[in-house]
Amino acid sequence: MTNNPVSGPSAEPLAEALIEKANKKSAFKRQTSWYDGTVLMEIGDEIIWLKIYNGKVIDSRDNVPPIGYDFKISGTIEKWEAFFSGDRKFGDLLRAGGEYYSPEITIEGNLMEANRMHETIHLLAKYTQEVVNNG
Amino acid sequence: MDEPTGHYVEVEGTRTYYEEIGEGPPVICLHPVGANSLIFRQLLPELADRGYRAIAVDLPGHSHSYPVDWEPMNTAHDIAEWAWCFSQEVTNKQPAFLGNALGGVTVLDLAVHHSNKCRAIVAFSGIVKTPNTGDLEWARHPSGCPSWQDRMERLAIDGLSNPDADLIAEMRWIHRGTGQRAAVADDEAWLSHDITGQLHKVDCPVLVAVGEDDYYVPEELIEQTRHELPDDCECQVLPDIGHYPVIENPSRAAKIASQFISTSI
Repeated sequence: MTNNPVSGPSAEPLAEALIEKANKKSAFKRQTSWYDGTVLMEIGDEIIWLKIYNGKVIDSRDNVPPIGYDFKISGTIEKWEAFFSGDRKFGDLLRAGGEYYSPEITIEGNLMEANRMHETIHLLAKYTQEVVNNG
Repeated sequence: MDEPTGHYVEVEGTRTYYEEIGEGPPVICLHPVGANSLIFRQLLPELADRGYRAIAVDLPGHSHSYPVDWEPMNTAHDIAEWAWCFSQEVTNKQPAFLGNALGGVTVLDLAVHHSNKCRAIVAFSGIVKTPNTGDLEWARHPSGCPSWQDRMERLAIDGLSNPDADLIAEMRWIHRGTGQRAAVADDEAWLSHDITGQLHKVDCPVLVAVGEDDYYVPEELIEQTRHELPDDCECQVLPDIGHYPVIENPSRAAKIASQFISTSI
């Protein structure tokens, strides 16, 4: 975890659209009904910090607050764009280990919480893809 | 359309479920990691229509089949040896084997050890060696991997090339029929598979067919497989297909398999 505030100027509109979409989705509500925590998304230089509770995103920031985050989903803009464009599957970009796969989009922080929220991570990535592609 | 019928048989002392349809030379189908015979729901009638007795088994520990001695098998070789015993229980004719993903590498292992008694082998997404991403001991129990079910479903649906919503839903439900212990053992079997240097022992026609969009199978391992297969075997890359040809395009998979097997009859 880090306490250093980092900001991304264009993250706010993306975050607003992402939160609006996530909070409308029954799948997101189902997956996060018993989660009370914080997730950081790093999409290249853009920072989206999300507070999730009781099936909804209830707060967000374009920086990392002093309380940090439970886990972080991060990758270079090139890797995210490969996913947004449909060239690569998100699961493909997450694969790591052995001689054939080096991490491309990584999960860091409390890995047990991230493990528990595996489907939520995929949903956040998918909703971000939809927002980037369709507004 | 005729539907497959379900049966039970005792194999290696364990109650084993399989489905079959059609008459003719037997083709025994082995499923991917964490799946079961349902993944061949559409392929079996397609093979039957082409003149085969199409058989799909729930591997030990999956869906309706109990594990042997109550322990899941975690090597492709053990599964292959069990599959050979299964074939001897359900047919007295020379069988062909067809596998997809874990089933694909399992039938290649079986080809190394039993191909002189096989009609043909069709390995969808089967390669000589899989990319080993490391030890999965941590994933065997929910205390180490509480999300296994979600992960299994994501591994499955992300492996599809261009699925519609119905195929995604079906793949999720197919992978809800196997528990964590057996599914993790499957993944260990997939990840540890390595028959490098052994394919020269193959003594029947073998077809390896890999989806062009299959990101679980690195190109260099397809090339290694192509290089190690005997000259009279085939290695194809299938356009617009991912890791699961048998459910992504059952008609095409059946056509490819039946045409190949027919050349050996």
